[in-house]
Amino acid sequence: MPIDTSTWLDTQFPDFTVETTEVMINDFAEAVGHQHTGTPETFPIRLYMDGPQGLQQLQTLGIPVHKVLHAEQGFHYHQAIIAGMQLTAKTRVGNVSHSASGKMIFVTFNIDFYCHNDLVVEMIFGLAVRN
Amino acid sequence: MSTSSTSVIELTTPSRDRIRAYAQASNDLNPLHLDAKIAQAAGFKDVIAHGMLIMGLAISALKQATNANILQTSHVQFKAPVLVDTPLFITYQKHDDRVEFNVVDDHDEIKISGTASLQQPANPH
Repeated sequence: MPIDTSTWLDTQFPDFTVETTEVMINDFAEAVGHQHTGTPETFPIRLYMDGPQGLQQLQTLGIPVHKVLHAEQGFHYHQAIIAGMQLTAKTRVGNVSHSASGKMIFVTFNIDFYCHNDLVVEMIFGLAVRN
Repeated sequence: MSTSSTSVIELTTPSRDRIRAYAQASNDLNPLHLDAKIAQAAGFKDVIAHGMLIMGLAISALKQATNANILQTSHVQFKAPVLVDTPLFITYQKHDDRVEFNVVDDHDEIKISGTASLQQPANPH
Protein backbone atom coordinates (compact mmCIF):
# COMPACT_ATOMS: atom_id res chain seq x y z
CA MET A 1 0.00 0.00 0.00
CA PRO A 2 1.45 3.42 -0.93
CA ILE A 3 2.58 5.60 1.94
CA ASP A 4 0.21 8.47 2.72
CA THR A 5 2.21 11.72 2.71
CA SER A 6 -0.72 14.14 2.79
CA THR A 7 -0.18 15.25 6.38
CA TRP A 8 3.63 15.34 6.45
CA LEU A 9 4.43 18.90 5.37
CA ASP A 10 5.09 21.30 8.26
CA THR A 11 4.80 18.53 10.85
CA GLN A 12 6.68 19.75 13.93
CA PHE A 13 8.47 17.52 16.40
CA PRO A 14 9.24 18.10 20.08
CA ASP A 15 12.26 20.32 20.76
CA PHE A 16 15.28 18.76 22.40
CA THR A 17 18.39 20.27 23.98
CA VAL A 18 21.92 18.91 23.89
CA GLU A 19 25.04 20.33 25.51
CA THR A 20 28.22 20.22 23.46
CA THR A 21 31.39 18.99 25.12
CA GLU A 22 35.05 19.08 24.14
CA VAL A 23 35.15 15.28 24.12
CA MET A 24 32.21 15.03 21.71
CA ILE A 25 33.72 17.61 19.38
CA ASN A 26 37.25 16.22 19.51
CA ASP A 27 36.15 12.62 18.91
CA PHE A 28 34.02 13.72 15.98
CA ALA A 29 36.83 15.88 14.56
CA GLU A 30 39.28 12.99 14.70
CA ALA A 31 36.81 10.62 13.01
CA VAL A 32 36.29 12.94 10.02
CA GLY A 33 39.94 13.92 9.65
CA HIS A 34 39.32 17.50 10.75
CA GLN A 35 42.71 19.24 10.91
CA HIS A 36 41.61 22.79 11.65
CA THR A 37 40.78 24.59 14.85
CA GLY A 38 37.10 24.79 15.67
CA THR A 39 34.27 22.35 15.32
CA PRO A 40 33.74 20.30 12.15
CA GLU A 41 30.92 21.65 10.00
CA THR A 42 29.07 18.32 9.99
CA PHE A 43 29.11 18.03 13.81
CA PRO A 44 25.39 18.91 14.25
CA ILE A 45 24.57 15.45 12.92
CA ARG A 46 26.01 14.13 16.19
CA LEU A 47 23.66 16.40 18.14
CA TYR A 48 20.77 15.17 16.04
CA MET A 49 21.71 11.54 16.71
CA ASP A 50 21.83 12.30 20.45
CA GLY A 51 18.27 13.63 20.44
CA PRO A 52 15.16 11.55 20.95
CA GLN A 53 14.37 11.97 17.26
CA GLY A 54 15.36 9.86 14.26
CA LEU A 55 13.29 6.73 14.52
CA GLN A 56 10.56 8.56 16.43
CA GLN A 57 10.14 11.00 13.56
CA LEU A 58 9.86 8.18 11.07
CA GLN A 59 7.30 6.45 13.26
CA THR A 60 5.32 9.66 13.62
CA LEU A 61 5.11 9.94 9.83
CA GLY A 62 4.46 6.21 9.34
CA ILE A 63 7.69 5.62 7.40
CA PRO A 64 9.13 2.07 7.66
CA VAL A 65 12.79 2.49 8.57
CA HIS A 66 13.93 -0.21 6.14
CA LYS A 67 12.57 1.84 3.22
CA VAL A 68 14.68 4.90 4.00
CA LEU A 69 17.89 6.14 2.38
CA HIS A 70 19.86 9.22 3.39
CA ALA A 71 19.63 11.32 0.23
CA GLU A 72 20.60 14.88 1.09
CA GLN A 73 22.34 16.84 3.83
CA GLY A 74 23.08 20.49 4.35
CA PHE A 75 24.29 22.99 6.94
CA HIS A 76 24.12 26.76 7.07
CA TYR A 77 25.95 28.42 9.93
CA HIS A 78 25.08 31.70 11.62
CA GLN A 79 27.71 31.31 14.30
CA ALA A 80 30.31 28.70 15.14
CA ILE A 81 29.63 25.85 17.57
CA ILE A 82 31.92 25.63 20.58
CA ALA A 83 32.12 23.33 23.60
CA GLY A 84 29.74 24.15 26.43
CA MET A 85 26.87 25.41 24.27
CA GLN A 86 23.35 24.34 25.17
CA LEU A 87 21.81 23.84 21.75
CA THR A 88 18.07 23.43 21.34
CA ALA A 89 16.88 21.75 18.16
CA LYS A 90 13.59 22.69 16.54
CA THR A 91 12.54 20.21 13.87
CA ARG A 92 9.87 20.29 11.20
CA VAL A 93 9.17 18.69 7.83
CA GLY A 94 10.23 21.33 5.34
CA ASN A 95 9.51 19.67 2.03
CA VAL A 96 7.82 16.59 0.57
CA SER A 97 7.97 15.57 -3.06
CA HIS A 98 7.57 12.47 -5.20
CA SER A 99 9.58 11.08 -8.10
CA ALA A 100 7.88 11.17 -11.50
CA SER A 101 7.20 7.45 -11.27
CA GLY A 102 5.79 7.78 -7.75
CA LYS A 103 8.14 5.05 -6.57
CA MET A 104 10.20 7.37 -4.39
CA ILE A 105 9.19 9.98 -1.85
CA PHE A 106 11.64 12.72 -0.86
CA VAL A 107 11.16 14.22 2.57
CA THR A 108 13.30 16.97 4.05
CA PHE A 109 13.58 17.64 7.77
CA ASN A 110 14.64 21.16 8.75
CA ILE A 111 16.44 21.20 12.08
CA ASP A 112 17.36 24.63 13.47
CA PHE A 113 19.74 24.71 16.41
CA TYR A 114 19.43 27.66 18.80
CA CYS A 115 21.60 28.80 21.70
CA HIS A 116 19.76 31.16 24.08
CA ASN A 117 17.29 31.99 21.28
CA ASP A 118 20.07 32.86 18.82
CA LEU A 119 20.06 30.75 15.67
CA VAL A 120 23.39 28.92 15.43
CA VAL A 121 23.00 26.52 12.53
CA GLU A 122 20.29 25.40 10.15
CA MET A 123 20.54 21.75 9.17
CA ILE A 124 18.59 19.94 6.50
CA PHE A 125 18.32 16.18 6.56
CA GLY A 126 16.82 14.70 3.43
CA LEU A 127 15.55 11.15 3.10
CA ALA A 128 14.44 9.16 0.09
CA VAL A 129 11.69 6.70 0.92
CA ARG A 130 10.87 3.76 -1.33
CA ASN A 131 7.13 3.95 -1.80
CA MET B 1 33.22 35.67 -11.53
CA SER B 2 36.46 33.75 -11.63
CA THR B 3 36.54 30.01 -12.04
CA SER B 4 39.30 27.46 -11.86
CA SER B 5 39.85 24.18 -13.63
CA THR B 6 38.93 20.92 -11.98
CA SER B 7 41.31 19.72 -9.29
CA VAL B 8 41.54 16.21 -7.88
CA ILE B 9 42.65 15.14 -4.43
CA GLU B 10 42.70 11.73 -2.81
CA LEU B 11 40.34 11.26 0.11
CA THR B 12 41.00 9.22 3.23
CA THR B 13 39.82 5.67 2.56
CA PRO B 14 36.90 4.69 4.81
CA SER B 15 38.51 1.70 6.52
CA ARG B 16 36.64 -0.56 8.91
CA ASP B 17 38.40 1.10 11.84
CA ARG B 18 37.49 4.58 10.66
CA ILE B 19 33.85 3.60 10.13
CA ARG B 20 33.75 2.16 13.66
CA ALA B 21 35.35 5.29 15.08
CA TYR B 22 32.86 7.48 13.23
CA ALA B 23 29.94 5.34 14.44
CA GLN B 24 31.04 5.94 18.03
CA ALA B 25 31.81 9.63 17.54
CA SER B 26 28.53 10.34 15.74
CA ASN B 27 26.37 7.97 17.80
CA ASP B 28 25.13 6.49 14.51
CA LEU B 29 25.28 2.78 15.30
CA ASN B 30 23.21 1.53 12.36
CA PRO B 31 24.37 -2.11 11.86
CA LEU B 32 24.66 -1.59 8.09
CA HIS B 33 27.87 0.24 8.97
CA LEU B 34 29.14 -2.21 11.55
CA ASP B 35 27.93 -5.75 10.89
CA ALA B 36 28.92 -7.39 7.58
CA LYS B 37 26.23 -10.07 7.88
CA ILE B 38 23.47 -7.51 8.26
CA ALA B 39 24.91 -5.45 5.41
CA GLN B 40 25.02 -8.55 3.21
CA ALA B 41 21.43 -9.40 4.12
CA ALA B 42 20.52 -5.91 2.91
CA GLY B 43 22.19 -6.56 -0.45
CA PHE B 44 25.65 -5.07 0.08
CA LYS B 45 28.93 -6.99 -0.32
CA ASP B 46 30.17 -5.70 3.02
CA VAL B 47 29.51 -2.90 5.48
CA ILE B 48 29.00 0.56 3.97
CA ALA B 49 30.43 3.84 5.23
CA HIS B 50 28.13 6.42 6.74
CA GLY B 51 27.27 9.06 4.14
CA MET B 52 28.01 11.65 6.79
CA LEU B 53 31.49 10.20 7.32
CA ILE B 54 32.22 10.70 3.62
CA MET B 55 30.76 14.21 3.72
CA GLY B 56 32.88 15.02 6.78
CA LEU B 57 36.05 13.64 5.20
CA ALA B 58 35.30 15.56 2.01
CA ILE B 59 34.83 18.86 3.80
CA SER B 60 37.99 18.36 5.84
CA ALA B 61 39.95 17.67 2.65
CA LEU B 62 38.40 20.62 0.80
CA LYS B 63 39.27 23.00 3.61
CA GLN B 64 42.82 21.75 3.54
CA ALA B 65 43.02 22.14 -0.23
CA THR B 66 41.47 25.61 -0.37
CA ASN B 67 42.98 26.99 2.85
CA ALA B 68 39.47 27.76 4.08
CA ASN B 69 38.87 27.97 7.80
CA ILE B 70 35.15 27.42 8.23
CA LEU B 71 32.60 26.72 5.52
CA GLN B 72 29.46 28.70 6.25
CA THR B 73 27.24 26.63 3.99
CA SER B 74 27.62 23.07 2.77
CA HIS B 75 25.14 20.90 0.96
CA VAL B 76 25.44 17.42 -0.53
CA GLN B 77 23.38 14.81 -2.28
CA PHE B 78 24.23 11.18 -1.64
CA LYS B 79 24.29 9.38 -4.99
CA ALA B 80 25.50 5.87 -4.15
CA PRO B 81 26.62 3.86 -1.11
CA VAL B 82 30.34 3.57 -0.32
CA LEU B 83 31.62 0.12 0.60
CA VAL B 84 34.30 -0.19 3.28
CA ASP B 85 37.87 0.24 1.96
CA THR B 86 36.75 1.89 -1.29
CA PRO B 87 39.43 4.27 -2.65
CA LEU B 88 37.87 7.73 -2.98
CA PHE B 89 38.80 10.99 -4.66
CA ILE B 90 37.36 14.48 -4.68
CA THR B 91 37.08 16.42 -7.90
CA TYR B 92 36.35 20.08 -7.28
CA GLN B 93 36.12 23.46 -8.92
CA LYS B 94 36.54 26.68 -7.00
CA HIS B 95 34.34 29.62 -8.05
CA ASP B 96 35.18 32.79 -6.10
CA ASP B 97 33.77 32.11 -2.64
CA ARG B 98 32.28 28.68 -3.23
CA VAL B 99 33.38 25.27 -4.33
CA GLU B 100 31.53 22.55 -6.25
CA PHE B 101 32.69 19.00 -5.71
CA ASN B 102 32.07 15.33 -6.35
CA VAL B 103 33.35 12.39 -4.36
CA VAL B 104 34.10 9.56 -6.78
CA ASP B 105 35.49 6.05 -6.44
CA ASP B 106 38.35 4.57 -8.46
CA HIS B 107 35.89 3.69 -11.26
CA ASP B 108 34.71 7.32 -11.46
CA GLU B 109 31.31 6.50 -9.99
CA ILE B 110 29.96 9.58 -8.24
CA LYS B 111 29.16 8.86 -4.60
CA ILE B 112 28.42 12.39 -3.39
CA SER B 113 27.83 15.68 -5.18
CA GLY B 114 27.98 18.91 -3.27
CA THR B 115 28.65 22.60 -2.93
CA ALA B 116 30.15 24.62 -0.11
CA SER B 117 30.68 28.31 0.52
CA LEU B 118 33.98 29.55 1.83
CA GLN B 119 32.70 32.49 3.88
CA GLN B 120 33.02 32.35 7.61
CA PRO B 121 30.17 32.60 10.09
CA ALA B 122 30.31 35.08 12.94
CA ASN B 123 32.24 34.21 16.07
CA PRO B 124 30.06 33.00 18.96
CA HIS B 125 29.13 35.57 21.54
